[in-house]
This record gives sequence, structure tokens and C-alpha cells, in this order.
Amino acid sequence: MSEEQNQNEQVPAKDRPIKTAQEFTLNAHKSYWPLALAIALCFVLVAVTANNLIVLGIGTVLAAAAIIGWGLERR
Amino acid sequence: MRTSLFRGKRRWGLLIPAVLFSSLLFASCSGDPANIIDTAGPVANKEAGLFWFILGVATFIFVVVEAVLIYTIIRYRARPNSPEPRQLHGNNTIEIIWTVVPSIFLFAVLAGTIYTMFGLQQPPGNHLEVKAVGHQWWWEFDYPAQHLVTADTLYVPKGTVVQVDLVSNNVIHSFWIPALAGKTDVIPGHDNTRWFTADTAGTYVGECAEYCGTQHAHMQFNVVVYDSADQFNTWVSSQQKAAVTPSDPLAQQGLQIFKGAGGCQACHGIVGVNLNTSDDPKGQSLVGPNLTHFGSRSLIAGGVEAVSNGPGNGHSWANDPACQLVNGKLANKDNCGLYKWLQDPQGVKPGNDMIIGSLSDDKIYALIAYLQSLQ
Amino acid sequence: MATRTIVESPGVVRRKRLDETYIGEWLMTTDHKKIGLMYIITAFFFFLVGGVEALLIRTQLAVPNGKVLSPEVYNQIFTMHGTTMIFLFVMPMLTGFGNYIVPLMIGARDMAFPRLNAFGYWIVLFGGLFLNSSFLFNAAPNGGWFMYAPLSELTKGCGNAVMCTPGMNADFWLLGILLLGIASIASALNFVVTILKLRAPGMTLNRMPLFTWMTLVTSFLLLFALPSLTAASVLLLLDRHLGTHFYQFASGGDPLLWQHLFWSFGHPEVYILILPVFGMISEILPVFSRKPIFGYTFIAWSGVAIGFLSFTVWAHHMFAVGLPPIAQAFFATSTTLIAIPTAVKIFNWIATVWGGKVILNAPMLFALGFIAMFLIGGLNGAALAVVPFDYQVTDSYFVVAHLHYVLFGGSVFGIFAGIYYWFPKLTGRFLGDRLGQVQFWLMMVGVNLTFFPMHLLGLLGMPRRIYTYPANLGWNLDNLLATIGAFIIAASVLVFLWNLFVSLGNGQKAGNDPWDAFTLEWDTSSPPAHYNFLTIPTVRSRRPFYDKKNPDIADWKTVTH
Repeated sequence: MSEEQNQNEQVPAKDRPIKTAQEFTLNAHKSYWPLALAIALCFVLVAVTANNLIVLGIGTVLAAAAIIGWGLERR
Repeated sequence: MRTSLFRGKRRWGLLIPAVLFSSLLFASCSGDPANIIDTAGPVANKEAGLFWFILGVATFIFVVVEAVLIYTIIRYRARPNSPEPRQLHGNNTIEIIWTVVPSIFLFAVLAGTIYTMFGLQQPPGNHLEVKAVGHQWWWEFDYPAQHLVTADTLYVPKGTVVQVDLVSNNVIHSFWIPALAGKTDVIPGHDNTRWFTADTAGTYVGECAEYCGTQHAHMQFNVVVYDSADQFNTWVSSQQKAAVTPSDPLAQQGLQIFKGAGGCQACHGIVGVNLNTSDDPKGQSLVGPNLTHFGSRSLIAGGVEAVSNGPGNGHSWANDPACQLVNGKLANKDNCGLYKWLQDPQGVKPGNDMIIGSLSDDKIYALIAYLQSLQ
Repeated sequence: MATRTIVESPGVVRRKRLDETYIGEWLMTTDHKKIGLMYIITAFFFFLVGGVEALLIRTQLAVPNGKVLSPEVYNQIFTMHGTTMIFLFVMPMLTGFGNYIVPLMIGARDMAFPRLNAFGYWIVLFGGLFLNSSFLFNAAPNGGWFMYAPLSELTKGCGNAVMCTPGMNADFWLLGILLLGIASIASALNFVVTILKLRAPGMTLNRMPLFTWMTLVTSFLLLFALPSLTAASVLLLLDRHLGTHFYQFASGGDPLLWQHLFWSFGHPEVYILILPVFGMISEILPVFSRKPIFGYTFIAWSGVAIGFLSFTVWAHHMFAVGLPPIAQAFFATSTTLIAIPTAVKIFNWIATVWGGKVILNAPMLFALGFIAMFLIGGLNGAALAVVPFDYQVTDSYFVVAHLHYVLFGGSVFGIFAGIYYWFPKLTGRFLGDRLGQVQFWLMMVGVNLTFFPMHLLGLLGMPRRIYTYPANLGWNLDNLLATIGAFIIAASVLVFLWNLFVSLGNGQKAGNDPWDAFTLEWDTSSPPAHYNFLTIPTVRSRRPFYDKKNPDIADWKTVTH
């Protein structure tokens, strides 16, 4: 059975049977929290480099928000 | 795939490395002063001996393994009628053999390594003690027993064990005289020492071998090995004398510039001028090298080629034809190393500590006259 | 139910959400294949940056008393060359290939922590941009890629009137490295969990592809070595900005502490840079010799052995600092020990090719070239373990020769082998083989011409990290040869770029399995579908795809493992 299904990939897209919803749930969804946390850490980094406490504060808050958002995200 | 061109090129692949390897042999014929193979002392000799051993073994292994590799590729190249190969997954016996045999060999080399390492300890007994102080970016040499301080060139007699105490109060440097001994790092707070003996008289190149900042490249020093103890003692006596007051009027002018307000004595010490003795503690706090016998030195400013004859060159800068004053002037000033240095030290060795603004040519000539008199 | 596609409401027309646009898809992706591809592209960009820095160095050193770069700029360039090549090219490139290929190889649908995976990538990108932004402030790191204290301290650590490193240069390096360390730890954690928990049914550790084995060992190395670097960097930052004295002898600290901490990271680091490449080579050689890897068990276990031993050898980078002879003897012994598994691998690889049916296309040429060059790097490395000889050649160009033979001749050749091998899987097209062979030969000539003379330079007394050299010490010819070689390497990279450009546009199409390979990643479409495998396969041997294609002579029928 697996051979037939793998051969599906060689059939042109328009002729393939519509994929069921199940296949999509097996993979993780896209998410913007990783990028958000990375950007927040950059704020922190630049703040430390430039010795700027305000930007450091903003960066820390953003980082905390990103971590919380990441943790609460529906998977 | 295109394999027809391949065979010829693979032969080149073996030939070129073989030629390159053999070029290693030529390194010993070069006569270059900073060579670790053309050695002049027992420490470097032992270390170079290991080099020859390593070269022999490495060449042998290289040739054999590469030959097997190349043979394998050529012999088992896919051809139109090649059979499907046997799907061999391994062979425990062969694998054990080719693990154990190299291990035995490597441990034999290790034994030799450790034996030589312990054999390179400083021999007990009489030695000449020199303190090498690494500055950014020049070497100071203090002879505590002889009470003298010099810079840029290390003078030693032939055949004597020299113990070099390595001191730094700034960053890490490394003291290396390739022809005489392997290097030892100069680490602030650590009392490392490096010993060597020179078996042949001559001038050798020394370098700083640990990145120490902007002018790490210009921290060379010379090692002058005297043929006899007498020659060395003569040198010591002349260095122990205080600086003579010059008789030449131009040189006297130079002395005034040295001593004057904002003059060189703020950073440089001369015994008899602003230092009482070479051990004078005041000398330790001065940024620049002690200049008491500067006129006899062969290397200045850490070997920046623009102002010296290049490291390893035993000629005194003061005898350089371009630095001979005629009627109080230099005919060929742009070829005189010391002129270029005094005229623009930052241009010659950017980032160094000598920031003196611009001196007029007359002042420079006066200083050169004075410094040449400091033999 | 978690379907979030537009399909669910076919009658409704609405604007695309951010994550459905092309850019949004890449910015928010958690798919290991997209992330792997981003890693690879970013790493290759930094390879070009580091390469330009190398060309600048070689141009300055082509002739004595060169005036191409001032010493201040030169010192920044050589520091950034090392830092970029190690942290921004080799590590992300190997992480990228690991990300893309490992889940496919073990029959998984994605990595264990997809969001952490994405986070790791973005940190690498931002860290790299941050490090390189230092050039804009003329404050690029200039303390050498290993940033020895006290040179990297600020004024208080130094004597006389000289500041050790005025300016922010070292801060850029330290903060950049801290950030990149976070990324490496995140991806290492991800790999460990993925490889240990998400393998396909039947794929025991003993049946895992060797690339996966090496990635696993590398990940453990990262997890245990990076804390050392992090600690060292934090202590240095404290010294520089908060008045502590960890590395300043005048206040009771010790400069050597930095070296011990740094090299406790630095030595495992070099195995981090090479082990995944060993894995790649162990995948490529069997496919193009048409037989299995010789001695799978020995190779896998020697990788593990190297991993453990790599924590015991660090002070062989410090033989000249004045450690007691007993300590030096210990490190000489451990270094000798670690040479054994490395050497054995070379024999195993050659035995893989022996008796096979050798197809000499571009990936195979790079893999064979890797063996040839890595052998040289291993031999001059073993030479460096001979302590008294090391006293002469450490901190000289002999070491530069060694490190480039193993890093360029080793890692880079292996990476190009991997690129040519897996390019069809990633893109569905072949990278031109003709041009690949041209690139290979140019690179071989270039690498040897550049780095072989450096052995001679070391023997002739040329120290490392000098921005120029005198004309009378006999170093001129070898330096000129090295510079010419460097430009030949540059030409070969240009050939590669041309090949890439042409192949992406017009390359020959590749099917799922262009090389008739043995491992599971080839049992997917090229490029693989979003979900990788429609059904997760069951694995019965080390070559599951070979078994599937050759059921009569399948490995599980002929051998037991």
C-alpha cells in the first residue's frame, strides 16, 4: 500500500486526490514566536552593546512576552 | 561520467604533493636566520631531530595511504562491464589489526616525545640569567647580575646556558629564537623561564610569537652570540658604564633636546643623564627603552624594517652610511632608519607609544649625533 | 481539528494571512526543510564573506612590508575571518544539512521541537549580522578568533600607558558569540531529542545512518562544550565592564584561566566542525562505490570515542604556556589517543571504496579529495602532538597549515561533497557535474598551493597573526605562492557560483532517487513533500531504501544487525 501512495507524488498535482485534513495535523504549524523572541534578544544585545538601559528594558519585556506567548501557543 | 581525462590528472595529484613534500628538504639549505631546522644550539637541535623523524614517518604514511587510495580509485573505477560489487559490510579481524598496529606505533612515538620533553629541562649549574620583559611592542633585556639594561638585542656568550626569565606587565607575548630553542609564552603574573645554549657564534633572529596587539608583527629582536667569554665580558663592561657626555657640539645639542622640557627623558632612561644606575627604580616606570648605549645597537624599534637593517642583520644602525652626518646634516636622510623613526614614529609603526609630534630636521640631526655617541 | 488552510471554507474569499504569503511562509516556518535551507544559504553567504576576508589577508601578505591594509584593519580582518568561517559558515552549514536531512534519514516528519528549530536559525542570522555590523563602527573584533585575555581586556588589565584593546571590538565578539551559542545549544538539544525519540520503527541506534550518528555525537559535544565558552565570555564581559579581575594578574586573577576555559570549548569545537562531515562522507562513499560502508560499527564507535576524548586534550593548544611537564605529558598522551579513532576511519573509508564500482562524479570527487586532504591534516596534526617539536612550530604558520588542511581540505571539501550529493533532493535538479569537476580540480590545486607552503613558513620561523614581515627572512616566495593559491580557490568558488546559478535555472531534472542511494531520505519526492513520508516506513537494516529496491538481496536477509 505504501508503494502506491508514494507513487502519488509522481502524478500531476491537479489529478491527485484531495489530501485529507489528517496529513496537515501531523506537522507543526507555522509560528511567529521564534522570530519574535529572536528579535527581542537582539534588542537586549544592542542595548548591552550601547549601554542603553531603556532599550534593555524594552528588550527584556519583549523577550518575556515572546517566551510567554510561545508557551501559551496552541499547538 | 567523464573519466577518460581523469587518469592523467590523478597522476599529477600524486606528483605535485611529492614535489611539495620534497621542498621541505630545501628549507634546511636556505641559510635563513629564523630557521628551526638549521639550528645552533642543543635545545633546537633536539627539537629539529624530532622534525626529521616526523617528516620521515609522515612522508612514508602519506605516500603509502595516498597510493592505496589512488590505486583503489583507478582499479575499481566503474567501467561498462564492471560487475556488481560484493556487498561487504566489514571484517572484524582486519579492523582490529589496523587499529592495534597504528596504536602501538603512536605510543612508541609518544614515549619518544615524553622522553625528549623531560630531556629538555634546564641543566643544573652555572648559567647566565637574563630577564626578558615583553612590552607592547619591544623587548627589554635586563642582566641582573651584571646590572645592565638594554633593549632589542640580546647578547650572550657561546656555550653558556642562558636562563631567560620571562616577564610581562601588559599582555601575553611569546619568546622565540627559532634557531636556538622552541618558544615559551610570556604571561603576566607567571614566572616562566626559557633556557638555551648557543653553540655557534653569530646573529640570530628572535620573534614575539603570541598575538599581542597592533604591532605584534614588529616585535622582533636580535640575539648576538659572542665567540668567546672575553668578547662578552668586554661588551658587559662597556654597557655597565654610564653614558659619556659628548664633546661634539651637535651631539651636545642633542643631549639638551633629550633633557629639555617635554623631551625624550619623559619616556626614555639614560644612565648618567636621568638615571643614576641601570637598576634605578625610576627606570622601571619609563615607557620607552633604556637608551644608554643606543649607538651600539643593531636593531631598533622592534625591527620595523623601515628603521633597521631588518632582524638578523648584525650591523649597528649607527654605522649605516645613510645615517652619517656631514656638516651636521644627513645627505640621504630618507634612507636613514633613525631619521625616519624620529621624524614620524606613528607613520613607521602605527599605534606604538612614541607620540612626539613633529621635530624639525635640525633637532633630529642633533639627536642622531647624540645617539650615535652613545656607544 | 487544526486545519487552518483556505480549503476549509471553499466558498469564502478573503485576504491571505501573513503566514500564507511567500515571505510570511518563510518568516514563520517551523518546517525543518525550510529552516535547513535557510541555514545553508545563510552559511554559504558567510562563507563568501569569510573568503573575501581571506583574500584581503593574502593580498596584504603577498609581498613583504605590504601596504594594502593598515595593522589595525588587518587585525580586525584576520579575527573576523576565523570567527566568521567557524561560527557563521561551518557550524550553521552543518546544522542546516543536519536539519534538512536527519529527520528524513530517520523516517520522521520533523524535528522534535520545530519552533525551537526556527528560533535557532533566526538567532544565527541576527548574530551574524550583529558581528559583522561591527565593521560599520570600525570596531570589528581584533583580538584573534580566540580572544586571549588580557589583550581582550580594557585598560585596567594592562600596564604602562597602553590600553589592551581600546574600544568595543571585543564586546562585539563576546556578545555575538553568546548569542550564537544560544542557537547552537537550541539546535543541539533538538537533534538529541529528535534522534533519540523520533526514529522510524525498527531503526535501532545500530541501524541509524552514520550521518545521523555523527550529528548525535556533535550535538552532545555542543551541549557540553558551549557552557565553557559561555562562562569564559561572561567572565570577560564582567572584567571589561563591571570591574572584576578574573583574568588580571595584578588583582589576583590569571590570564591562563581564559585559555583553559576557551580551549575546553575550543577543542571539542573542532570536532564539532568535522564529525558531521565524517558522517556525510560515510554516506557518499558507499553510494558511489555501490557497496555498504566498511565497518559501520567501528566508524560509529570511533565517532563516540572522539567525542569523549575531545574533552581531555584541550591543553595541546597550550604547550608553550609553561604548564608543568607532567601535565604536558598527560595532554600529549590524550592527544595521541584521539589520533587513533581518526586514523582508523580513513582506513575504513578507503576499504569502502576498495572492491567497489567507483563512479567518479562531482560528489565522489569531493569525498575522495576529502580523504586525501584530511590525511595531510591528520599527519601534520599528529606532528603537533610531539611536544618538543610543537614548542618550535606552535603559534607559527605550521599551525595555520594544519588547521586549514583539516578545515578546508576536510570540512569544506566534505561540505561541497554534501552539496553536490543532496542538491538534487533539495531542489529537484542536478548541480552541473562538468562544472563540478572543474571546481574540484581548481580547488584541489588552490588548497595545496595555498596551504602547503605554510608548512615551510612555519619551519622558517614565521609567526602567526602578523600583518607584514621583513624581506630578509626568506619568507617571500612561500607567501607569494600562498596568495596565488588563494586566488585560485576564489576562482573555484566563482565556478561553483556559476554552476549554482545555471543549475537552478536550467539544471537537468532529478527524480526522487538520482544516485540509486541506500538511505531513507531518497525515498521521498525531490524536494520532499511537506509531510516527508506519506506513511512512516519500517526499517529492518542499515540500508532501508536499498532493501526496498532490492528485496531479494536485502541487507536484512544477508546480515544480522
